[in-house]
Amino acid sequence: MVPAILKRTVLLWAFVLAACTVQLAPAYDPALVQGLDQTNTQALTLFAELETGSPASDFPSYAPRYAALIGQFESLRQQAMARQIPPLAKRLSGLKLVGKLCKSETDPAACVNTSPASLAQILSTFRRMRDTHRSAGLQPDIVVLFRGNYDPAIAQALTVENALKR
Amino acid sequence: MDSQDILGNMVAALKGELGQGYSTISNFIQNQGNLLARQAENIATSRATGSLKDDDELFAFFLQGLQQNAENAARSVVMLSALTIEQAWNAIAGALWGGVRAILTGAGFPANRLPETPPFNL
Repeated sequence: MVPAILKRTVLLWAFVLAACTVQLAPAYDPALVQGLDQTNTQALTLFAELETGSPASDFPSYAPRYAALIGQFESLRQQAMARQIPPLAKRLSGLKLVGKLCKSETDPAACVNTSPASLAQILSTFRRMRDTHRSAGLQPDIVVLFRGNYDPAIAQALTVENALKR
Repeated sequence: MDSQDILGNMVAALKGELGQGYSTISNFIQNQGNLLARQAENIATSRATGSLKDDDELFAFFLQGLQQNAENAARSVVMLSALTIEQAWNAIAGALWGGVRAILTGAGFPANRLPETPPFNL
């Protein structure tokens, strides 16, 4: 026979559990997702135009395109960085299990708001691509490598941001 | 509503959330794995016979980018997993709260004093 006090304790805990939902990641931001979709289209268009290569002498006609892409991705990165992170989520990323991977000592949000890092990677790609285009031009295989640097990062940001819609 | 009904609701809600979460994470890992592997192959080819042959600086940039993308992918998996845990927990809490609410209102507790969803968010 189960003691009455144990029964009452189990019932109390069931009630407490039932009454509490948790939030372990930021809220969905439709404007951020829309911005990512639009800027991604512009980036893919630039890659398509450059896939056969481009000499340094052509750079001036592409300079405004690089500036627009870098500006838009920087704005999206700031938007993603500025949003509120639920306190429970920050505590979760401090767990020993993920502490090393998540660099929780220096950035408590590194594993619960991953898009800023993915967008920083995209920015670094376009800045380097712009500088290479300006100084030496772009060979087709180098364009493929810049695209290869861009694709995983944008896929990370799009997947994570879309998953936040819950 | 009895404990079996509550348990049934909890299991059904949990199955849906975990299934969806697993599918998202599994597709993400597969996609990232393919992209990173292809990039590694392209870097190696370009270094051996292409434009990276004589460009140490750009070669180092792409290697560093590959490493950074791999680390960011791993952190994204942690975030997607946290999201799945959140949804699983909330599904359990929702089903439990629904059961508690049904039992209490059945016992005469005024329904309008009990919210339809769990009242606290941690």
